[in-house]
Amino acid sequence: MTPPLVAVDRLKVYFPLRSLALFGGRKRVARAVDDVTLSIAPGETVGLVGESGSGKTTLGRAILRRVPVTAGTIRFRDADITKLEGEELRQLRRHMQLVFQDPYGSLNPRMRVKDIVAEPLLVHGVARDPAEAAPRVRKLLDLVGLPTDAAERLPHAFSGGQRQRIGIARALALEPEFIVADEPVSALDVSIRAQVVNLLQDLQAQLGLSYLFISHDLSVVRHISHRIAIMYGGKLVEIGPSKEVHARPIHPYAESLLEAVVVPDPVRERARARVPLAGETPSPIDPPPGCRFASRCPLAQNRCRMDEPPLEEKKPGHFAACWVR
Amino acid sequence: MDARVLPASKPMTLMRAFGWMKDAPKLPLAMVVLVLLVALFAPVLTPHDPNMGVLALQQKPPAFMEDGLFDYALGTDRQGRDILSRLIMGARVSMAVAFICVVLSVVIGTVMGLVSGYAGGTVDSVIMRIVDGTLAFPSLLLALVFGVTAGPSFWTVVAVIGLVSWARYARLIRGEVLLLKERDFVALARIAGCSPARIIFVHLLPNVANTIIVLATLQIGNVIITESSLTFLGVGVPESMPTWGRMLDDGRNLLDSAWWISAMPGLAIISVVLAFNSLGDWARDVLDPKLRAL
Repeated sequence: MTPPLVAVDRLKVYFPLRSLALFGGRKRVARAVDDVTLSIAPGETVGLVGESGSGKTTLGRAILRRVPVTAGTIRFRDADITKLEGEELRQLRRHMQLVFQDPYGSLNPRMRVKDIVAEPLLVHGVARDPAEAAPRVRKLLDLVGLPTDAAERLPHAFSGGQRQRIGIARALALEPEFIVADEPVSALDVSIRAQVVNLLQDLQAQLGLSYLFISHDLSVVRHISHRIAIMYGGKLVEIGPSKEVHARPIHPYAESLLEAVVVPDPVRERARARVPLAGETPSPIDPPPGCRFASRCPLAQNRCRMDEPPLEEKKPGHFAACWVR
Repeated sequence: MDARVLPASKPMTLMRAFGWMKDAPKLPLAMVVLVLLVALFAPVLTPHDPNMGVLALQQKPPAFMEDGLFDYALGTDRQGRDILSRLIMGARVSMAVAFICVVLSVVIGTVMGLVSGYAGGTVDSVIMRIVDGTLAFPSLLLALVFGVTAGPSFWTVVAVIGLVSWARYARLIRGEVLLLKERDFVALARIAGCSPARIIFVHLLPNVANTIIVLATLQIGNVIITESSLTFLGVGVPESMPTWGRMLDDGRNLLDSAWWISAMPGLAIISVVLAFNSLGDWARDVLDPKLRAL
């Protein structure tokens, strides 16, 4: 097996909360990411799924070294990057890039498209001036399927899907090996989503990229991912090959997530037996002992409320953290 | 390639270079250009010596009134000085004070606001406390202290107004930066490896330019009025320099007998302030990429 491109080991990201020290309160923390281990192979796409507050975005940000890590390590190409600072961190960022959810907020409204795409090249000294970057910019715009005359325009002249392409072109400028795509299609119309997802897949085939594809929507992740990881309350509850997780989910939470995906056939959709999840995600502050999902789990037993289930290999390559299954 | 976009002849390029100005409001633009030209060429334009009064011609009304003289088109003041000449000379001083003060406070205020908002933490706290102090401090008191210790002069006025008014820019721009820096494009710039200086000047500054321009055009009016208050208190520009503010004050006690002494500079202040404000409005629209023609 090839060594992983990105390897996250027992990563913890805790955010300190302002404590009520005046009243003798103790220091409290929100456990956004709690003891997550995950690796991504070269050329692989891992889909990271979870609801709001599950820690999926924080995990992506931690890998890109945008939030302080509380414990654990992050390795990139077998080098520990958990504590990189300054110039080394800047150099690392040539290899890891980010595509954001909001195509309207992620482009500077005052910069021309060519300057947006050329900026990483300029700040990393790959090109000395915009003129030198121009051929590369043209190539990048072509790569993401934008017309050449897009270069001279400002972002407001483009639709959401086109803006997302601009964001992708910029992310690719430095030829990174790894891209964190944080809900890259969630803000787009359904008809445009497929185009952008296909573009990401084509680019992967051409450039050998690895993706961490973050989404709250399993149906989007399914098409692009080799493996799917499911997070709940800061914990990784299930990870396995995309098809496996879809066909035979192990964790009850994964099951309920799959049930929430609408079947595009009204007859079958109506006939489906569904048990909607009750309740809310548990607070990441002072989580109860035991399984984070126990309070909402239809299968919860006493043990689930007492001890935390470890992530175990239930079937070859398919891991889940559950006492019952 | 379309034939229409082939290289154009020279006059065509010139037209295109100024094409963005074609929607500028005509009247305010003309007004501002006129005042600037008048200010620039003031010494050759004055029909009379602005500081030399004719005792026989005290408080003469404007030419269009009964008893008015064509030679003194806008009338004379209490000392028999020609109001038109004083307005022309006054334009020079008032415009100079206004421009230097605005530039001074824009530069200081913008840099402080950008740094404060972007850096956050202790730097932010320190700068904002200075801003609070500056805004809370009675500026006229500061002006009096300055004026008494340094003596009334043009530069005292500029220094006092400049030192006080940057704070409003700093606070407003800091607020905008706090919003902007949470936007994804700033985070992406950081990930791309941009230096803080590049983020501040390339990503933040152009996005707060609107605010700066609007505030600056509003401030021009304020500066003219502040300058007149300082002059009234005797710590403004010296007596030998006529300013619109001083002229306004000169006629203050004569409003019922010789209203034109105050009314003429008052009209000048109003029209200049209005002209700058509407130009500012227009500039804001032109600078907004969303409103710019495609």
